[in-house]
Amino acid sequence: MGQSAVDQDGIVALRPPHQVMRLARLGAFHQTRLSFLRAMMRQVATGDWTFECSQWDIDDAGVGVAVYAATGPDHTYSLICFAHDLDPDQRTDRVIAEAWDATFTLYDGVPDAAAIERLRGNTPRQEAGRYRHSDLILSRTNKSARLFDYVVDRLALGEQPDGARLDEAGYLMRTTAVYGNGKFGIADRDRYADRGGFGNPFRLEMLTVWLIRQFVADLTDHMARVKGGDRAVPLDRTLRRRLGVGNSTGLGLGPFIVNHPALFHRWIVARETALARVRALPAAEETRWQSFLDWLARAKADVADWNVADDLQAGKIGRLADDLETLSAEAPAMAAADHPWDSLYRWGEAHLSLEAQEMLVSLMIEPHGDLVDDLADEMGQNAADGPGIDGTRTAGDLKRSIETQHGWALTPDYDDPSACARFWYVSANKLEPRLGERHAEPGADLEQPLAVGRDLAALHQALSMADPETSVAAFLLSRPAHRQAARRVQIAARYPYAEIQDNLIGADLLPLDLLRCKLSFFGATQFDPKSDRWLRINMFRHAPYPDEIAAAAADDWAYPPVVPA
Amino acid sequence: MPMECSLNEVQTLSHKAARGAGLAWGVAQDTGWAVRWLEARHLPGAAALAPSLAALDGQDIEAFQPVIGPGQWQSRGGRLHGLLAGIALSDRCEAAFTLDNVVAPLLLLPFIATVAAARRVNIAMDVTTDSPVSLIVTSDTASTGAQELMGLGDVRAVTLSMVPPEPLTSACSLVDGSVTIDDDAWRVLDGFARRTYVPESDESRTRGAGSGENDAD
Repeated sequence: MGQSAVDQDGIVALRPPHQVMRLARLGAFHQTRLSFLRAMMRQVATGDWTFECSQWDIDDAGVGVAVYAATGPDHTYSLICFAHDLDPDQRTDRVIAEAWDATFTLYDGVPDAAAIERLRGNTPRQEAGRYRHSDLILSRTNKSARLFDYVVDRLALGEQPDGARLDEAGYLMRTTAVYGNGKFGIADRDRYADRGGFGNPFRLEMLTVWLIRQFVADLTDHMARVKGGDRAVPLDRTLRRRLGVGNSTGLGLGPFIVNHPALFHRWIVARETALARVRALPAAEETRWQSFLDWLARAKADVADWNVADDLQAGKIGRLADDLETLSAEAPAMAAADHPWDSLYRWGEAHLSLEAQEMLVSLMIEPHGDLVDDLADEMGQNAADGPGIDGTRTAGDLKRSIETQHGWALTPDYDDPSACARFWYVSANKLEPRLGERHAEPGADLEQPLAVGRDLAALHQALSMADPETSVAAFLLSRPAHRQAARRVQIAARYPYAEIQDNLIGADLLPLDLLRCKLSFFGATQFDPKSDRWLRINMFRHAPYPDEIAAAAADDWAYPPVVPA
Repeated sequence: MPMECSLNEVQTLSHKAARGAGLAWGVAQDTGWAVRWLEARHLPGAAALAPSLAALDGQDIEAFQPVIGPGQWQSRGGRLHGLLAGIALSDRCEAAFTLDNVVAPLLLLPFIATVAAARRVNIAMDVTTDSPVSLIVTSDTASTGAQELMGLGDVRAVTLSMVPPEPLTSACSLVDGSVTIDDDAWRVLDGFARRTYVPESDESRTRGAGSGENDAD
């Protein structure tokens, strides 16, 4: 099993970038305590937040407006919900959709009638509307029509739906986009960057989706009452917990972690630091070890319910399930080992698949909230305050940095058709990021700068032909095409976990890995690939609802309780 | 009717527009950042960028790049582009020389501010035109004289010098909320930005994006 990773000062080093920053591993990440939606819930569960449905004007057709107010110590955020009567033939998750079952705006403060009217004219149009800095987040959902109708029918009859059917889909509605940070005129992120926890990445987006979940539950009860009158019953709270908010994610999310290298580094470092802190513990407290085994059992049960149609992912899940069995057998004996968490981790690294290794990481972190939760507030990154290029360095210096930091980029032959088989672009229709086949379709001349490896190699080549004493400034003045790559090299020197160390335009690229990595940081679960470039996920499944958060146990819901057979 | 938008929108648009006008992606990224810096301080960055990209369009961009001589920067083709000169001086971390025949001098400011920050100084900027303008650039803003840079057109010379970092008596304040962009400027920038998008083809529609046909179950 190799030597302990604990050095003489009792510290465990972070796993190195060349190990962590491989796309296959990043695409095997699971949610952790540090995931944004969990951090958001910890923030609002502190007892000084109240949640109420402040307006409910939904008619018998399920059409109208509702408002949910989330009031914290300093601010109120209001989710304004517009429910629509969508023709099923029009229901699509694609960005090209023009109508949805429900549309939402998270509003900064308490909206007056004029604000609601203004948003009534825009929110239902989503990207085609215009918004103001009082409008913070924009989103929309579509029903899982089969399940929604089934649940409403059961409740209308005075009966509860079958839990197994709820678990199959896991949600009644799914978001198909959640927009923040200035899109379509909504508030820029820096407007709320100093609002305590909500300056952290995607916290407001997570609050929005969590409130949407409450709306969906309330809408379901409402429709059941419309249909069944006095006979109708509300959805049982235990069953309700098993429903999250689904999400349908395609390539739109793909470029983000590539385009925000310093931010992505912060996310990775927080996670790796959490792991290192746990591994450094010289012994395992009895309660924490027990808690870990309990989480492991719950995770196993959850994996048994993780059903997907995609063959590749199904294979990974099967292997994960086997690995978790093996882990369950091995783990108990390690409790008394020296630095037992580190022993456990290193055993896992040697014996488990990537999916299982990364699940082990998540599970090891779970019982150690007091040790790691502070890291969730260190995952933000201020926007750059300038070009960030130090042009006084030399070309020789820059070339050496590429060799030291980005050796992985220099290996492929990018002229080989399979090494440059793809290209990223933005479509003219609805401005979607897409991935094209370079040798089979037009558009590569308009390629987006996401071919990082290739561009680093090209920069290296150009630097090899330049005078090594030339300044970077002079080099870039004469060769501006290399500016972006040069910046990335200098960023990576300060942020070692900034770069994905794989070819992002190769024939073997699995875009799903990019999506899943980002979604794992959001806190998504039930990754359900539908192709190599889009997937369904679930958020907040098993979590308390706003109307019960004050009384709920602390952050203990991420894996479902094991249901007795 | 002017366009009310977020800073993120104007940054993204400027970034794409610069690329659409033929500038390298790395230069385009800095363009977006620079226009946002200006707009965030009530300075008309987008309105300065739009005609300056039109000036580059179809031309040899190299001709607008600085030729760096001792104490004096000229251009290859007779007009020095404020954006390109700004990037160059920021890369060098230098702001003590004269620039000749500058197109869109307003675009220099954000880059001069990065030099001011790095060197912990203020930068005095004296603009030689029919109605001379003087202003001070600090690490994070500029004196209100900056507002006079718009509408100057090309300027004969811009002289930069480092001065002690004293607080400004009147500075450009930060925007609180959205910014208002001149409609014509928006249209011009949007036109350039659209050049970066790939038009639909039957192939791209089914291959490229994401959700498949039966995504509504």
